[in-house]
Amino acid sequence: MKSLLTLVCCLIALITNAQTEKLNKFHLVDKVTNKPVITSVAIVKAKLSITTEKDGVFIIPGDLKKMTDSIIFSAQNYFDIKMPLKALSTLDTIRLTRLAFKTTNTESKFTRDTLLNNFNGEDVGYFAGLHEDTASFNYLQLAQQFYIDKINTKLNTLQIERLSFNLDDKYGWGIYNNPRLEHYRQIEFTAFKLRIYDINDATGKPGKDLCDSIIVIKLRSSERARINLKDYNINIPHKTFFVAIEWMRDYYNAHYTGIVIPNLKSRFISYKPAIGISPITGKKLNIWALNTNHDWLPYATFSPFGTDLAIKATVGYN
Amino acid sequence: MKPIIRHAILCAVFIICILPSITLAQTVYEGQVIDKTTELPIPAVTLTLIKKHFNTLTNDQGYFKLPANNTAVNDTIIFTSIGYQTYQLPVRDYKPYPYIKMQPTLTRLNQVNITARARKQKQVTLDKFLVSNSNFYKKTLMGVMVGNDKWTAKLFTLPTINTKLLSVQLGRDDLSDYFITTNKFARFNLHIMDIDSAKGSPGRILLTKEINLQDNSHMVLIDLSKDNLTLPSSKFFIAIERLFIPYNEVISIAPDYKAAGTNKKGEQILDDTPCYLIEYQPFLQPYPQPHAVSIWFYKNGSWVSHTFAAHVNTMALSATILY
Repeated sequence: MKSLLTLVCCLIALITNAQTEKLNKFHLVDKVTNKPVITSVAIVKAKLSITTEKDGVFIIPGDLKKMTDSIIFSAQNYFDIKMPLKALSTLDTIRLTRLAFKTTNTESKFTRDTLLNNFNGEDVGYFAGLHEDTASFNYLQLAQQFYIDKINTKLNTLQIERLSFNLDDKYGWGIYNNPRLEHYRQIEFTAFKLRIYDINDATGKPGKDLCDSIIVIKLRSSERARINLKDYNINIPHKTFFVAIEWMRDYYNAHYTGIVIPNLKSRFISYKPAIGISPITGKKLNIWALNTNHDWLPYATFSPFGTDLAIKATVGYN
Repeated sequence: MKPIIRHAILCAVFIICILPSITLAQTVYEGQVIDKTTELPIPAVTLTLIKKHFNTLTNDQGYFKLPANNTAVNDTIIFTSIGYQTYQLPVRDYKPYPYIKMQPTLTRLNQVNITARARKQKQVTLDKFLVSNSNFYKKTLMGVMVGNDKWTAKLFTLPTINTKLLSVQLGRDDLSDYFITTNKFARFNLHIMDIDSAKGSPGRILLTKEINLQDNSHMVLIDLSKDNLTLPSSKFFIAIERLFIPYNEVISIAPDYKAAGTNKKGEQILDDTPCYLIEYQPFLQPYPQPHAVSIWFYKNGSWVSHTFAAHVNTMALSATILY
C-alpha cells in the first residue's frame, strides 16, 4: 500500500501532462516464470525513478497516450527494457527476460589480500545522494572504481561509510526531551543493493555484473557497513572493477532533503543512504553515476577535492 | 591468609601495576593556542606529549591536532614558544577544544610601530571577542545564527579617519553541540566595504579576499597588513560572502513526517522520517557586544539592516586597526 501511494505521489508531481485521475497499474514479471520481479523504473526526461516492492507493481496516473517521455525497466540479471510511455497504454504486464549469467565465480584459495582505497572513516564529512545543486538527487547508482595491479583476484570485503547521526544511541539538544525520541531511533534505518561490475572494455565505464546474487545490505543506525563477500566468490578478472550502491527508491528509504539557501525554499524527496566521499583526494576522479537514461557518467559534484567514494575494499590474491 | 583475601590483594596489585599504562579513549586532542593578553592565535608553538615522545607545531591559526591514541592517562602536553611561558596541560584535564592561553614573558619584544616622525601609533581591536567567553553565551542564549544569507555585513565605527586595517578576526561556531556533520573546510569571500553615505548601507568594495579555511580552528585570524588598506571614512563594513558550493556543505538532521496512507476514517497516517538539511560553512560564532551592533543583509537586490541591542548575540567578528 505504501509503495503504491509513494509511486502515485511521485509520478503525479512530475508527469505534468497527466490530466485525469486514471491510474494505470502494471506488473513486472519474469518472462518465463511469471513471478514478480523487484525492478527499478525510471522515467528518462523527468529524471524520476522508483524501485518496486516485491510484488513488482507500479502505477502511473494520467492518460498514457498523451505522454511523451520514455520509461526504462531495469532489474539485476535481466535485460533492460526501454519504451515510450505511450506504449504502455496497451499493456498491463511487462515481461522481463533473464540474462544468461556467465559465471566468473571462483573458489580458489587466496593466501594474501590487499586493502584498496584506505582512509580514516572519522574524516568523512561529505555525502552524496541527497541533492545536486538545488535539485533532487536523481541518479540510480553511484560506483567507485578500484584498481589493482593483478588479474584474477577475489573481492573479499567492503567497508562503506554512509550518513547517519546514529540516533539509536545518541541524542542532544533539539531532540533531547522530545517525547517522540523513541520514534526517531528508527528513522535512519536503511537498505540498499550492492552491485559489483567488471569494466566495459569499449567505454571504460562499469560493464557486466560480476555477481549474480542480489546483495541487499540492511543497516540500522550505523554509519558504517562492513560487508563480508567471501561466500559470494566474486572473481575480479581485470585490473579494475567497480563497486556500486544501487538505491532502493521505495517508501522505506524515502526521506526529505532541504537546502538552506536564502530566497530558495527547496525541499524534496531523497532516498537513504547518503554515501560518504573519501577524505583523501586522488589524482583522478573514480566515481561514476548511473542516470535515469542508464548512462554511466563521471560524478564530479565533489570534484576536485572529492575523487572517491568512502568505500574500502579488500581483495585476495596469490 | 584466606584465598579470597589473597586474590583480592593480587587483583589490587595488578590494577596498581597497570594503571600507568591505561590509555584514554580520546582519539584526538585539538584546540588553539592564543596569546593571553591579545587573545590572538600564536603560530609555531611546539606541542610535546611527554611520555609518548610526540611533537607537533601549531599552524598559522594557532591550531593544533594531536593524535591521542594509546596516550597514558598521566601524560602531559607541554606547549613551548619563544616569548611565552611554557604551558603544561595534563591530558586528564583535557576538555574538548581548549583555548590554551600562553602568558608572554617579560623579555618578549612587544610590537612597536614608530613613524618617521617618531609619533607613536595605536593598535586597537574593534568589537573584540573573547573566545573563551563565547561558548558560555552560546549555551545560555542558544545562539543566534547570523548566517545563511549570501552576504552578511557588520558595521564598524573607527575612532578617526585614515586608519589602516591590519587584520580581521572571526570566530567559527563549534557545531559539536548540534546534530551536524563535521566539515573543517570553508571557502568564502571577505569584503572590506566603505559606507554608502546616503543610505548608511555597505557601499564600495575596498578589498576582497578569498578565504579558504582548511582546519578546524575556531578562532580565525585573517592578516591584511600586507594589503596596506587605509580606510577612508570613519565607518566601514566587513562583509562575509558565502559560497553555496559542495566544498562548504554541512548536513544536519531534523525529524519530519511522511505520509503512509489513510486510516478507515480517512485520516492521514504519518510515519517519522529524517529531513536532512544542507547548510553551508562558515558558521560564525554568536557573540554579544556591550553595545548595539548593526548587521546588514543583502536581500532581493538591496541591503537591509538589523540592529541588535547590546548584550544580544550577533557574530564574532572583529577588526584590528592602526592609527
